[in-house]
Order: sequence, then structure tokens, then C-alpha cells
Amino acid sequence: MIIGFLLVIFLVPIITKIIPPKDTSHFENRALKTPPVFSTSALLEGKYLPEWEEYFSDHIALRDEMIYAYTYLNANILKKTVVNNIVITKNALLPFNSLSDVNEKQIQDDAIRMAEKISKLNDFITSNGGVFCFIGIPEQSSMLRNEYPIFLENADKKLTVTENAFFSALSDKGIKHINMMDTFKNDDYFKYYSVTDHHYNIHGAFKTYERIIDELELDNALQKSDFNYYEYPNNFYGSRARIIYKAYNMPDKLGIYTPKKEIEFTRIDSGTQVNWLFYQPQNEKEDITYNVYMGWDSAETYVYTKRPELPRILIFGDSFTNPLETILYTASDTMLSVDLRHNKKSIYEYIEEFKPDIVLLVRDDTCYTSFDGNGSF
Amino acid sequence: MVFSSVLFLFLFLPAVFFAYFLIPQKYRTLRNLVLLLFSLAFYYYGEPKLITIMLLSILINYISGVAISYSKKKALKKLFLIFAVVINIGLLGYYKYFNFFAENFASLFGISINVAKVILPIGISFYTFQGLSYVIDVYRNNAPIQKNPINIALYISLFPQLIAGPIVRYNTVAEEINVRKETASDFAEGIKRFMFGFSKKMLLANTMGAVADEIFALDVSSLNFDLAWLGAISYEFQIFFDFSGYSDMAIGLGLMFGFHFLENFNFPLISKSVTEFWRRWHISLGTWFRDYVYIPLGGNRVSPSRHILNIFVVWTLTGFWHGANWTFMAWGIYFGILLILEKFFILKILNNIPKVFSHIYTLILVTVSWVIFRSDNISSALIYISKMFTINGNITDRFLYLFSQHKIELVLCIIASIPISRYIKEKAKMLKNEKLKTFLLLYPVGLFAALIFAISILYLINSTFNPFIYFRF
Repeated sequence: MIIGFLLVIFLVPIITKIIPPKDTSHFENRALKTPPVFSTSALLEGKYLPEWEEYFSDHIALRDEMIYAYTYLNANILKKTVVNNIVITKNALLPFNSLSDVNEKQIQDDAIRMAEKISKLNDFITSNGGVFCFIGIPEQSSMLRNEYPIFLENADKKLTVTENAFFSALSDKGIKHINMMDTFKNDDYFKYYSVTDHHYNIHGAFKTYERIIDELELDNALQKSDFNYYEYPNNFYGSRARIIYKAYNMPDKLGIYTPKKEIEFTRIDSGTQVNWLFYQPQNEKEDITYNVYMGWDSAETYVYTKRPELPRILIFGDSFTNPLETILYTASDTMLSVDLRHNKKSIYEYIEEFKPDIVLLVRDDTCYTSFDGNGSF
Repeated sequence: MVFSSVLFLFLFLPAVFFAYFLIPQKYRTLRNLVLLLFSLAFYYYGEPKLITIMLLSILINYISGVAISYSKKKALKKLFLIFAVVINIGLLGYYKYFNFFAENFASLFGISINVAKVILPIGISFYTFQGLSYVIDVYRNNAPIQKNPINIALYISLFPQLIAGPIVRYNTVAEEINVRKETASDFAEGIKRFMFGFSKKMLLANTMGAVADEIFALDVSSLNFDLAWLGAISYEFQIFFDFSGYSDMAIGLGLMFGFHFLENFNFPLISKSVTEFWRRWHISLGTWFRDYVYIPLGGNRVSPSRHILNIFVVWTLTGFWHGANWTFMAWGIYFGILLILEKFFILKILNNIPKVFSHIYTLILVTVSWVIFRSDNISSALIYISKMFTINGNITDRFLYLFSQHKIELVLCIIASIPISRYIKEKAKMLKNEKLKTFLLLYPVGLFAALIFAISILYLINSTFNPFIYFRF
């Protein structure tokens, strides 16, 4: 007992000191604490020493392994419904929603304000010779809201109120839009969504592509029969699986669509050439993530296909655009993907420079009335 | 710094063990000095500025003890005692209660007072009572004078019990400060005790605390009876396992350094009366008030009306000791009234009914008391309690979620509230098979302690929720 206890409390700090510190936590998706900077004032105010607690906690030896063990214990042995704020259901991993009142008036007001912003953008695009379309895609937990246990909040009221208010406001402004909820809910919607990630899957993205080419009458765009589908044999761990340290077994796979007839392209990400659209894992054993699609969220990505008979497409939005881009480029001469979260340029500047024929704004339904990030145009 | 932290467990503790046990046992003064320095560093971590208050308290108590001891006249002894009491209570009164009195004074007279918020030094309620205990015991000749200031400082600031008790009487450790033996068996027992305390805190107290906090954060007027009870019970478990867990860790750490502190909790939730409950809960505080307030007031060797008054005074002070809020005072008075009623009427009834009913009676009354203790103000407490006894047919979604999420911990809390290990040990001692007896007495508890300690470390590393309740006392 004595030896065991002393070994643990002595060895842990020694090993912690020996192993090189990490900068970030892959699982927690954040930067880990850096050593606190000494100052007399910080010491006297009682801030300096507690910061060492935070630093040591972040860098303690076997931290990830211990958090994995904790998560495994709670998910698989104690069989908790919610672990690390992830709801473990029979068919999917979903986020935990705290109970809160729905302010319908606020949502209505925000929806109208956002529609006004989009209308202004629409006018600008039209004045530059382009066509605008808003693409709304249900986020995974929204689409799978019926999977929540009956006693947990599934945000149904908030999502429904927001969806109705927003698309109604868009319609009032005469803005072209696609609400993928209408498509998915009338189908076997599970097949369009990842069970471990907050995004839709490639089938959902492809369905969205089909709606876009249909809505915008892109007659020269490729059809489904023009694509090959390939599913990676690798394990796919989505964002939610990562939060629970992959400790709960919920199989999920990732697939891609590639044109049967290869289309040559040149991809430039913020001035750097990238020769692929899909990240290729080193081998079958490597776990893959949503980053397979386009690799990452980039401030701007140009994909040139040198087919001037096809439209110039500008697409902007969050990571929901990524799998869509891997298909949509086939319908464009040049596709420009912009993510305003990582950008200093405004979308108006991009439109003026790029002169797109088509501008698509893609947002998920948890962000329809959000004025941050890609809502800050 | 708290015991249930990474820094304490993996930096402070190995460092103090290394420095302390590096010194041969025969150099007791040096070992005491090392322990004192680490205790001061432990306190400094949380109170870099207000450590001076604790040092002042130590100095006052030391000087008072010496003065009392060397004074020949009783009147002079009494004067120094009064001096020590006034300073100690004065310090506690100022730092803990000044803002409370200022706000209530202003509210009462409808005036506006601008006073700077007085910050409460961590552990002041514990170390002032310990210091007072020393001075009073010297005055009463119940304990020898301690001439070495290092040893007084060590007694008052010893890190295992500094910020959250138990309130260690000087005569409990007087001899051990000067002469003690750190043995392997004590060290092993201390480790086991520490592990159990740590596990209580991390696995049970913190989890129940999260439930209690969520429920108590709700609008009290909209509470349903199911949530009201769940919140009250969760808080009861939180405070019990938090405080008793901390006491276990303190006692365990004390053992590792050769100190034998008295027990502070004795499975209070199995009590069959409120009277019994207070013999089992926070024993060091109860006995402190008994010996230094109740008995000097006359105890029960006075007229019935005076006896009632004495109980009332002690319990009002006990409640007030817990915090500068009317709720704490109300909580204390609540128990005072119950104890008076039991003493004069109810105990006779309880002794003549099946134990299960007296147990239920006690649990209900104690659980209700925690609502008063936890609430922000008296009116919230009253509304909350009314919700507990307003039964409608509905079970809320939030209750279903919290109960399903934490049902295992709730069951473990119930099991951990019962003296099961004691029962197993007693049965094992009666075994005829010596090998089996030795095995059962030695290994299962230790292995179990190690297992839950390991799991607790997982919880510690994963934790984002690790408050300690008694920090504000």
C-alpha cells in the first residue's frame, strides 16, 4: 500500500517533467496552458500559483489516457446517457442541450434582420450580374432530434421556430433558397447524416448538390450516374466521437464521390497550391475525420477547372460547404470557396473581384440567425 | 490549495514527504519546522496576503498562552484569557461578519453605507477556534503551556486540518507535537484513510454537488416536488461526503505524520434522532461548542428555562459560525428548537417506536435543514421546503434526466452512508479460520481503497467541477 501510493505520487510528476509538453489537445480541440509568467503582483494576488495548477493539470503524464479511461468508464460501464456533454443514444452521438426558454420574438426579429442582410447581399450580387441562393442544411442533432431520450431537451421548439421564421423572412424578401430539411425529412434521413459528427455525410452533400443544380437549372452539371462512390475502410471518428475520446463504439464510415471521367483541376488555398480535394489516409488503420473533405477550413480556396462554358461559382459558409465543394467544383469553371471566419476580406470584396455567376451561402440551421462568423457579411 | 487537486497530490505531497522523511526521526524539532514551512506554503498558495492574519492569530495565542501560564494571579490570567478571546473573536467577527452586520444595519435604518468588501481569509473559522481552544485549555490547566512558538504555529497551521478541520483540540496533539512516532502501520492506515476521503470527494460529493447546483439554480417558485427532494438529498450527500471526505483526508494525512486526530464524522445519516445526529456530525465542532460555550454557560445543570436558553444560544452561534447569512442562523436555531423538543418530549416517543420510523423522522428533518443551509435567503428556503411537501402527479423531464444520469452514484451514496466496512470487519473478526480472517481484515479494504482512488484520479483529471464547500468557513 505504502510503496504503491508513493510510487504513484512520485512517478507522475517525474514522468510529467520528462515527457515533452504538448501545445494542443486533439481531443479537446484547444490549446493547452503554457507555463505562467511570474510577476510579484500575480503572486501577491494569488493568481500565479493557481495558474501552475492549471498548467500541471493540462500537461500531466497520461492525461489523454486517463480522460479516455474516465470516458470509457462512464459511457460503457456506468452507461450514462450524457458523457462529456455528449448524449449517447442507440443510433447516434448527439450534443447535450441545456433547458432554456425559447424567445420567439427575438428569433423572429433576428430572422428578419438576417433576411434583410441577405437581401442586401442578393441585390449586390444581382447588380454584379450574378445569381444568389441560400442553402439551409439541418445540423446533425437537428435532423436526428427524435433520437434524443424523451426526458432530454432536443431543441425542437427553437429549431422549428427558427426555421419557420427564417425561411418565411427569406420568402418575403423574394430570396432564392433551398431548405434541405424539406428534402431529408421526406426521405430516410439517417442515410444522409453522420452518427458521430455534427455534419451531414457525403450522401447528404450529394443530395444538396442535386437540389442546387436543379434549383439553378445547371443543365450541364454532372448527374449521379456520372460519379463513382467510394467508402473508406478506415474508422471515421466525428466531432462528437472525439469529445468522448472515441471511447464509445459507434461505427461510422466516410465516403466520397469522384467523377467517373476525371476533371483536371488546380487548387489554390490562400495562395498555396494543394493537389488534392480529399485527404488520403496513410493506410487502412489510420482513423479519419471530416477533414478528409478538402482537408481543412480555409479562408479562400480556388478550384480552377478551365471550362469557361461552365459558371463561376462562389460558395461561402462553415464546414458544411466542405463535402459539397468536392462535388460542386465539377459544375463550375472556377469555384471559389470562402470562409469568413478565417478572413479579413469581406464577401462583397470577393464578389467584386471574382465576379461570380452564382453565389451560394451555406449555413446549418443552428446558425440561421447567427450574425457571427459567416453571418457577419 | 485543496487536497483534491493535481498540484497537491502530485507536487505538494511528494515534496513534503521527501523533505520531512529525509530528516531522521530523532530530529523532531527539524521535522516540525519542515512541516510548519510546508503548512505555511500550503496556506500561502490560497492566501498570499491574508496569511498575515493567521500569523497574527498564532502570535496572539502564543503570547497569551505564555502570559497565562506565567501569571501568578488568577485575575491576571483571566485578563490574558479575555484578551485572547477578544482578539480571536474580533478577528473572526471582523473578517467574517463585518459586511453582514454593515449591510443589515444599513437595511434596518434605511441608510446607505459604502464599505469596502472585507475578504474572508480561508479557514479562519477553523484556526481561530483552534487557537482559542489552546488558550482556554492552558487557562483551565487542561493542557500544558507550549513554550516553543514553532510548535504552536505548527498546531494551528498544520496543513491537514488547517482550512477545513477537524477542529483539533490542543490536548489531543500536545504530546504528539513534541514526541511522536511515524510508523509504517500508521502511514499505511493514513494512506487508506486518505484514499477513502479523496474518493468520497471526487466520486460522490462532486457528482451530487453538480446535481444540487443545477436544481438550486432553478427558479424556486417553479420547482416540482420531485426536483425539490432530489436537490435536497443531493445537497445532503454533497455536504456529507465533501466534508467527511475532507476530514478523512485530514485524519489520513495526520496519521502519515504521526498525528492521531479524533474522528469528525460517525455515519451521521444512520441516526435515529436529531440528538444522535449531532453526536455523529462534525463532532469536533459540536464538542468545541459544548466545552467552551455550553458548559461554561451552565450546561444542563441549571433550571429548565436556563437550560433551554443555553441550548438556544449554542445553536444560534453554531449556525452563525457556518456563515454570515440569516439562513445559517436560522439553520442553527432550527436544530436548537428540535434538540430542545427532543430533550423534553420527542426522544421518549422515538425510543418507543420501531427504529425505521425514527430513522425516517431524522432523515426528513435533517434533509429539510440542508435546504435552509443551502438557500440564499430565508424566503427561498421556505418556498423550497413548501415545494418538497406539495405533491402533484407530475414527474419532470429534468428529474428523469438527473436521476437516470446519477442513479448509480445515488445508490453508492446510500451504501457509503452505512458502516458496511465496520460490519464486515466485525463479522470477519468472528471467523474461526485464521487465514481467512487475516486476509479479510487486511486486503479487501486496502484493495478497494486503491481501486476507488485510481478511479478518483481519473475523475480529478477529467474534472471541471471541483468546488470545496467548507472553504468559506
